[in-house]
Amino acid sequence: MDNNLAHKILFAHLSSGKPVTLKVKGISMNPTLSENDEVTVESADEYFPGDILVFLYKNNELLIHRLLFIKNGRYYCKGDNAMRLEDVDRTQIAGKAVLRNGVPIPEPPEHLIELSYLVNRRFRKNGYSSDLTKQSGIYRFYKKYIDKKEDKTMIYQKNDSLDYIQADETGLAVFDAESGNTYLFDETGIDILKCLETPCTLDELLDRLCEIYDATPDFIRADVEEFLEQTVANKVVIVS
Amino acid sequence: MKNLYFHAPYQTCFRINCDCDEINANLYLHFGKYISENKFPAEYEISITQNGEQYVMESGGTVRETSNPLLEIDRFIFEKTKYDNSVFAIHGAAVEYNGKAYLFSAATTGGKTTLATYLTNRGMGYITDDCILLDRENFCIYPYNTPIHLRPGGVEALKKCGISLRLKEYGSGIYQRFTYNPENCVTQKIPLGKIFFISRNENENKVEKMTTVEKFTELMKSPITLYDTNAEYIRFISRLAVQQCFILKYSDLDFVKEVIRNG
Repeated sequence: MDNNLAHKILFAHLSSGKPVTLKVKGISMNPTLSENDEVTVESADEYFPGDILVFLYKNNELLIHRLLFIKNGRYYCKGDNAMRLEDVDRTQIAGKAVLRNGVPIPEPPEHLIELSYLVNRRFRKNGYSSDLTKQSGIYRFYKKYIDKKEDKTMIYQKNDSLDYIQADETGLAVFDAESGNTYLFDETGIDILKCLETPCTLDELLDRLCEIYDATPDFIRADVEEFLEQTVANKVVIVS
Repeated sequence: MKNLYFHAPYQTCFRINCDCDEINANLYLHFGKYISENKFPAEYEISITQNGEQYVMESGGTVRETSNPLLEIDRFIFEKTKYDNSVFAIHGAAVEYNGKAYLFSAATTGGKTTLATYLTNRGMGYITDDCILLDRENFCIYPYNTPIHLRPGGVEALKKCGISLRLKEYGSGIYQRFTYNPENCVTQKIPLGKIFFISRNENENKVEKMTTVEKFTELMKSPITLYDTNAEYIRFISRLAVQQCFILKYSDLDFVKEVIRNG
């Protein structure tokens, strides 16, 4: 069947309220969706960041990628394993994926959207070079985050380009002039950021913190990793 | 048509011209000494014309019909008011005790007006019941003694505490208010004592310490107007966050009085 016709049938079917099952082609949504996965797609009245959308892109490409944000009526999507950002309008969206091989698709991990967008940002800054982007710290951090695989070579450092405003020993505000956001840190956050004034790996950071706190690296690892995920996502910490 | 000027410290001035004597009288009840016929350079003009039971209000380039011009004037003034850069305008009430200012920050209907009325009737000085003007450099509080506007619920709560006030009523329905002009108004700026983030409840009286991060968060929510967030603003908030700030939960107005008296 001609692609155009197939797409029209897909849109008509979904807009009538009936779900459709599609087979995934390609690896741009790994590990969330894999090649040959069967996804059930439904139309919705509204789509929200985090949703995995099926949409028609340029050159009549039918894509299934995650919605990162909506701006000025445009929907900005990106594959979890891709670097490009695609923007479409509402009429180009057929529906959203709700089941993967019959199982409900879970909500994305907490910082996935911010980290995914940071990868795209790096990609654009690298002149759309995927090779250069793959070497970048933020891409490697993102891959570790999404694949849940440790990368012992990643170096973390406090982002000195932000404004650090310390009220006292127990309260720190970090202001990002670019986004206008303010992030607040208590004593523990202040200690971790102090340890990140000099670039270090996660293991080195854990060792530094264990000198301050009476703990073992394994005991604090999960909390420190969560702290790093959050602070890399909001750019208080940079990774290389 | 009478020209009145709303001219309050450290904020935008408005000219209000209205052909209705009742509305003009209510403006004096509502804004107190900050409404006068004295001319000031006004940034905005509001014009009210009576049209039968309705009023035509012209302000900010738009014309609308309203049955409640006082409410619409209040809304327009609230939307358009800009505060001087030297002050930080907090949505809250404030009283004076022993030469220091005690601030109560809460959202609308949080009980701060009733609290301010109670405390001023128990001997504390009246600073303001809705908009606190805090000097950004030295944290002194400037007096802003608008008439206190009590809702019917506040009046009842005060009666239960044995406080009976000379009130003037205006508005109707959900917009009904009772104004009260305290006699013991603070007229000079005074240093900051403590800031309380208040919440009224049925059965708990408690003062809680706050972490610096908690103070920061509450202070960021406390302004009466939208401030541009930039590094300078965050620095100011962080300086304010090391002042004495507490969470104050109360069911008993007397408890608050004792908290202030006991330092």
